[in-house]
Amino acid sequence: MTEALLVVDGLRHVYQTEEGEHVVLDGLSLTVNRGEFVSIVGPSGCGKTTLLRALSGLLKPTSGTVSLAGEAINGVPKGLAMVFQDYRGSLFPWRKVGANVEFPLLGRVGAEERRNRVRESLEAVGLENFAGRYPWQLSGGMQQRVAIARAIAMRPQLMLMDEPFASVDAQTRSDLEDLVLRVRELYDMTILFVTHDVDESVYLSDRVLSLSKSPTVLTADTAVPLPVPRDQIRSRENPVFVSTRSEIAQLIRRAKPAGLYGPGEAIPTTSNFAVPVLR
Amino acid sequence: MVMTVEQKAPETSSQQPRTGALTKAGAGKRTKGRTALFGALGTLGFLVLWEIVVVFGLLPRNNLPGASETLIRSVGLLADPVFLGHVGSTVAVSFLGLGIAFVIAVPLGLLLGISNAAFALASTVVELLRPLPPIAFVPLAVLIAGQGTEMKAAIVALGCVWPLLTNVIHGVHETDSVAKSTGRSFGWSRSTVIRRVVWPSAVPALITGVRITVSISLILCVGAEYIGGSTQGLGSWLLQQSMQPQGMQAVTAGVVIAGVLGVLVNAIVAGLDRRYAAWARRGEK
Amino acid sequence: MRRMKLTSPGVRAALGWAVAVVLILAWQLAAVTGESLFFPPPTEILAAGYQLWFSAGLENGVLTDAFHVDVVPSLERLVIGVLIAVAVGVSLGVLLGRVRVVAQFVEPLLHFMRALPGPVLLPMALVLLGTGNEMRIALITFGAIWPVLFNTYSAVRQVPESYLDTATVSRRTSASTLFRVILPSASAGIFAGIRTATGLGIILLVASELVASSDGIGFGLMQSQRSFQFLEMWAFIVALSILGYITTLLLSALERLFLRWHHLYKAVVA
Repeated sequence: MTEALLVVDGLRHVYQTEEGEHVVLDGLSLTVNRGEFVSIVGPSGCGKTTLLRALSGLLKPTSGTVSLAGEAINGVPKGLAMVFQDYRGSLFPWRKVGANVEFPLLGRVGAEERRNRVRESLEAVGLENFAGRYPWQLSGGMQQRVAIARAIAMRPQLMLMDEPFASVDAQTRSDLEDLVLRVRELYDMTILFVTHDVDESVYLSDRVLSLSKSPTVLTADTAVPLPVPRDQIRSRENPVFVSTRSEIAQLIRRAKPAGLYGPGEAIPTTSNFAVPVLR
Repeated sequence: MVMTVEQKAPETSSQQPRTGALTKAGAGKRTKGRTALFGALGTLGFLVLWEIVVVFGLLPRNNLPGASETLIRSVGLLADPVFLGHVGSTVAVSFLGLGIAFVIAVPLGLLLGISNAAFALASTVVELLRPLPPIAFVPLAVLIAGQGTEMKAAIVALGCVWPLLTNVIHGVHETDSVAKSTGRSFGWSRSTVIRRVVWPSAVPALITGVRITVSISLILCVGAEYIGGSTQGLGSWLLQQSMQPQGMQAVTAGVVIAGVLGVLVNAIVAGLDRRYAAWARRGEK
Repeated sequence: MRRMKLTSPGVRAALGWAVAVVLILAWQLAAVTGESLFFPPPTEILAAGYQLWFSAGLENGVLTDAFHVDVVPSLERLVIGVLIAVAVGVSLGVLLGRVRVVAQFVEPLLHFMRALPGPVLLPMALVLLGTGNEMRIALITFGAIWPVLFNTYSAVRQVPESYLDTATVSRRTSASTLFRVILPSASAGIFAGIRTATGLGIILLVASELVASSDGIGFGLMQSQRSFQFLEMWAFIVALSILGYITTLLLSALERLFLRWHHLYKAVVA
């Protein structure tokens, strides 16, 4: 039941700058189980993007290990899809919508299978009639749906989403949130979702991981005991939603860089649900 | 008919760290120093290679002078009044031609950019004249204007007028319509809006045009010197030298100086661009 | 009302062509009445050109022997010279754009080569490479390569990092990333370079055919001028102009084929 899919152990990343070393990730460990929806929240500049780049193999961390389904990651692993925040930058303007969705499958999957997967993925995000358009002819929300369809088409074990809805308007955003939940249900997918929006993380997730400011460590691991299926109105009115959200919000507001916690000082976790993470 | 604009891809310098955002802050100086060092090493390597190729006679025809010989001769040429006179002639004629093209293209470009009617009337003619290779008209220009400055300047002007014209029109067409409305909301007259909004907006495109045309002007001037049988100018001097026995050393040294001249001219125009068009390039990396 | 009419593309095109036709008619009229030696009437120029190059008759394939002497060699030189420039320029541009260290070593040299006005190399090429076809093609290639190389280099460096990340996360091979991401993304810049290169190629073609040659448009142009055959000279000018048009049209057609998305995209994004 709780099979660990993604295991991150002691992840540390240091950028070399003119002024010396800049520690972004300072020994971060976390686990995502198969079938789980886990969100990562943290104050801005806390190294969320660095973490996700390390997980997706785009960046080689200074030390620590990442493994997916028991295999250590070195480079971009099989079975991983990523949805970027910047949909404009991740969809190729010279490829039509269908061809963009098809892109990761080229040379790997037969033509027939490719066609089927493209159609199916576009149907899953409700864009089956837009395969022949160029992505830039669509609205921002629709473009992000194309990016999600492309991720689905890869049939990934793990889908990484890097603040995917940060640049769309509020209404589109809640539509996309429900779309992601639906897709997850449909394909039984494991999702690691990075956001700076606490409400969004609570609404979507089974578990929310909070990060400290840079140098970043994990400060809390909060379960979200909200009933499923979630609903934009009712779930957000649920007292559990309200209390969980305020717990996490406080954690983030008080978050300080890892080095500033004294040796005996407890990392703040006042939540009923939050489990303190020991360093 | 749609006007396509000849545009130069934005210049890129080599010092842009592309790693994480964090490395950008401090690494600039170090990268710059390394770029300069590597560039110097690369150039030195090329000169050494050139010298080796010549000394060991690795070329099929062994008549290329070595790098050291050539550079020494180049320095010598810089003190040679005859040579400098020819270079001066080429530079002067190029700029005269460019100036003529400028005086024609800027007012005409503003007119065609601002007035829809004028644009509709003239755009087909412009599109028909623009692809004509200016070099084809050298013999005609020789018949009309002789083999001297007038002929060469006319050819240079003919080649430079189109890039300038299309860039000015493009610049006017690209003027921010909000800026124009803002101007009108101040109660400015049409001519004031043109002077204060349209013209400044068109300047960066005009400078882009100048950046393209300075190289074209030198190329056309030297080309016209050969084809027109001119006796003045860098091209004529090179051709004369190449016909003399042992003239190759002078020719190679002259080519080196021509390249340095080109680099200097480009640097001056790039400086103009930074001074007057920086605001329009803000979006470019 | 007048403004509305002017914005209709059909009306504009008709108006534009009407102006062009009026100008040519005016030239014809002025030439017929003025009898200037240097400006023969357009009809006579066309007749002379036809006589020179296209009067072999249908049974002999229309083109005359003179066509094969005057025009064909030039076409060959231009096409081969520019194609080599494009192939080498794009390859080197991609290499330099992707491998920063190499770019750092050669950048000053490349700036020098690009700033060098192409025609100054003619005397050197004559001495080093002789008077054969290779010299002319080499000169065209050397002049045309820099705009292609620099535009490719610059465009490849401006390929958004996010495109490359997307390719990496999609586990593309480097060849696939090159042909499916980097080259398409840089294609607009590369095309701009090829346009400039073709223009320079024509200048260098004519310059290279001046010295020690016995065929080609440049040679014919000079011969007719020196022997005061003004009609013939004009026919050569028209031939070069047509060469200019053909290359422009050809490049536009290629651009429409490969860069249709780019023009539409620019219109939407801007």
